Amino acid sequence: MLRVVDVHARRGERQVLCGVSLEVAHGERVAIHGPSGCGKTTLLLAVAGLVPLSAGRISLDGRDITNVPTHRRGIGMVFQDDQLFPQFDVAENVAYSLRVAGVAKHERSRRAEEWLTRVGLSGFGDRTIEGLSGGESKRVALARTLAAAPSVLLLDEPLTGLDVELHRQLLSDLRLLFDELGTTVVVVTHDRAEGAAIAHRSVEFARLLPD
Amino acid sequence: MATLKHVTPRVHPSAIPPLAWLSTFVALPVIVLFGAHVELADVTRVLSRQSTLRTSWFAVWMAAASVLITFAVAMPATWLVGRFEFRGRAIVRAVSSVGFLLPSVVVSAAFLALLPEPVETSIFAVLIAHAYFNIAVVMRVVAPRLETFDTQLVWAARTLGASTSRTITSIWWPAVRGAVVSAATVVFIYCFTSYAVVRTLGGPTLNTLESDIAVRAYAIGDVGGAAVLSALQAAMICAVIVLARSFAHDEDLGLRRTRSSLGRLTGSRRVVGMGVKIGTLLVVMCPIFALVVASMRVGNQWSLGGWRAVISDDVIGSTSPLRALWSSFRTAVVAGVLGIVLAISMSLSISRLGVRGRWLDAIAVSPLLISPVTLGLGLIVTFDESWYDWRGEWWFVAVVHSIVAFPLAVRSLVPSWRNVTPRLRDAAAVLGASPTRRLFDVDLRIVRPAVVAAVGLIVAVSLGEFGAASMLSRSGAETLPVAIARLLDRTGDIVRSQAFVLATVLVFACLAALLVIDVGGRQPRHSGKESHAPRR
Repeated sequence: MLRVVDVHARRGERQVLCGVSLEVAHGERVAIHGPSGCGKTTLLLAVAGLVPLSAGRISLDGRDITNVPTHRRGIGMVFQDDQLFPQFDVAENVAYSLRVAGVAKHERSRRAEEWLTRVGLSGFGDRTIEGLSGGESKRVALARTLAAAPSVLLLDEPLTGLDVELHRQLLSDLRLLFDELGTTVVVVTHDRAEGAAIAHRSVEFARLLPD
Repeated sequence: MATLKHVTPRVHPSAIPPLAWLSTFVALPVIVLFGAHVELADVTRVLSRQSTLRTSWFAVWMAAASVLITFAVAMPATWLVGRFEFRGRAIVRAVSSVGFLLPSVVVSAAFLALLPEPVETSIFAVLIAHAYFNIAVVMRVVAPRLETFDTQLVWAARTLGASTSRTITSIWWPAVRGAVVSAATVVFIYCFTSYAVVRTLGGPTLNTLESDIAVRAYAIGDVGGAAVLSALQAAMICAVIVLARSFAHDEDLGLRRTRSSLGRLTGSRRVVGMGVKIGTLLVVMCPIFALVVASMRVGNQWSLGGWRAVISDDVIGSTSPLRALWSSFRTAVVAGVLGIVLAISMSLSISRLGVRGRWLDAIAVSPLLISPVTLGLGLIVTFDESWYDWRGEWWFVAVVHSIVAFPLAVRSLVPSWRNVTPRLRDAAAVLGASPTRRLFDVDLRIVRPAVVAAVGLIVAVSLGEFGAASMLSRSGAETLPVAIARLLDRTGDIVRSQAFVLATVLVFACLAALLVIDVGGRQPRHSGKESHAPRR
């Protein structure tokens, strides 16, 4: 279970999070809605450990992770603009977490291909990042994050900027994939329908703040 | 944007090694040179001398004339490359930049080989050699500006009733003025401080301040006078820079960054374009060709005597060809290693600090203000006794070269660090990469092509550097450019032929370094399957 308790954080001079609290059960998928600029993304970054907290606590399965650095949290995040590594090809991107963990090369490429197949990109392994379309890039980002086997997956506006047909397709693929894997997901989006389609439960960002 | 708060303090220290290096080998020598070796009497003595005025005046008009000739030669090709898409565009561009990175001694030797006897050493030869070097500067600085020029501005002016000459003065000139002025400034300073070319092609009577400094310090032993001259030279360079800034302060006026819209060469333009293309290639290749030919002639006959003499290591005076080769090689390797380590740390700090890194950027380019000869002189008078008597050590030349190339290397690395966005590092962190791991897999990995190119640049600079090496090279262990200049000073057909052989070897060594810059500078399509990052 992911618990976010009374979290405060600032970005530069601006106080962005003032006392946000959130609980997500194991295997649960939660969508957070809100207008742009309200602090949704900052909340995800704080959970991932990429924005320091000025107050509050975050715990995962009973373990306090407030001061654990990002790379040891075991929390995965798909960024809004994917942030694929341009210096690596698709397979190397997907297998990056495995390489960091010291998995052998042969095993790495096998599992990269497995994940690529799962997200519908079988055979894309040796493509370069520049050659990918928006939808493909998103799928690679997803495969890369899932390959790290995170205990919680954070999605920041996962389907923004894709055309209608692609949006629909990817949405149903995501749902099937998460159902199959039983992943714990926190998804942030301004699109209610999208949130409802992915998540079990939707909340307004404003509702996470103290009254 | 998420910025990792803890990144900044950890990266600060990376500026310390280069700063310490620059303080020891630039700031300290300059302070010692002016603090301990210059007296007030030197200042009045040098400044009141007639020859100082004459030399300064010569350096100024010679540099101005060089700028004009350079632009006359370079503009047709620059216009062609900047405005049109045509077959061989990349080649014209690459070939015309060759000149700049060829060693000045080699270019001088090439023109000695090319020009007919009566003008072999004359102001004419000096001006032509300067133009040859600097075609690349004009091309590199002005062509990109032309490329991004929005032609629709001209159309707009035309529909508003502007004549052709009017569009040139009111649309084109304001758009390219900044680039033209900065290119002209670079060319001017380069020619103003020219040493090897003036020394080799100018004959005994022509002197720039730079060559006068060398003569004064080296031949006459007047360190104080030489130091005053270098201060005078630095002051004049600063004045030129300030003047240029005041001309081109509104640099971005009329410039709209648009996707480049290159025209096609059609009809009669095609013929003109072909002419410019062939002309430029000929101009660039001719001296190199003449050099290779000259290396295979002794006196008036075809002979490989020069090559044989070099291979069998005929020592002339104290100059041994093979030792010079070896000396240049090891100097370039050590300078490359030292230079790249320092440039990486400096450029990393500059890019990570953003606006707060501006002062570091200014320090990084500061060695450009101190001429190599002055630097060499300062080092000689500073590191001159007890355990730090390093003047005769071969690696000391490499140290100086790491500094001479430092500003260029830093400048070429800084933009590529900016490709590394903080978010990309965040992405690696979320996937489990530790801070060290992120540095290797994200930062260093992305800048790797730029690093390879910078190494090539430092090596090319080191292979060709003449001013400082001529001050510091111990005889018997000169670097190639110094050996070539010494051989050219002597008479005798076989000696001259040997100089051309060494110059030919140096040309190809530098071309190899340029190839590294070009190939390494490109991001490979399938960027590396293997990883060089350390396992945790």
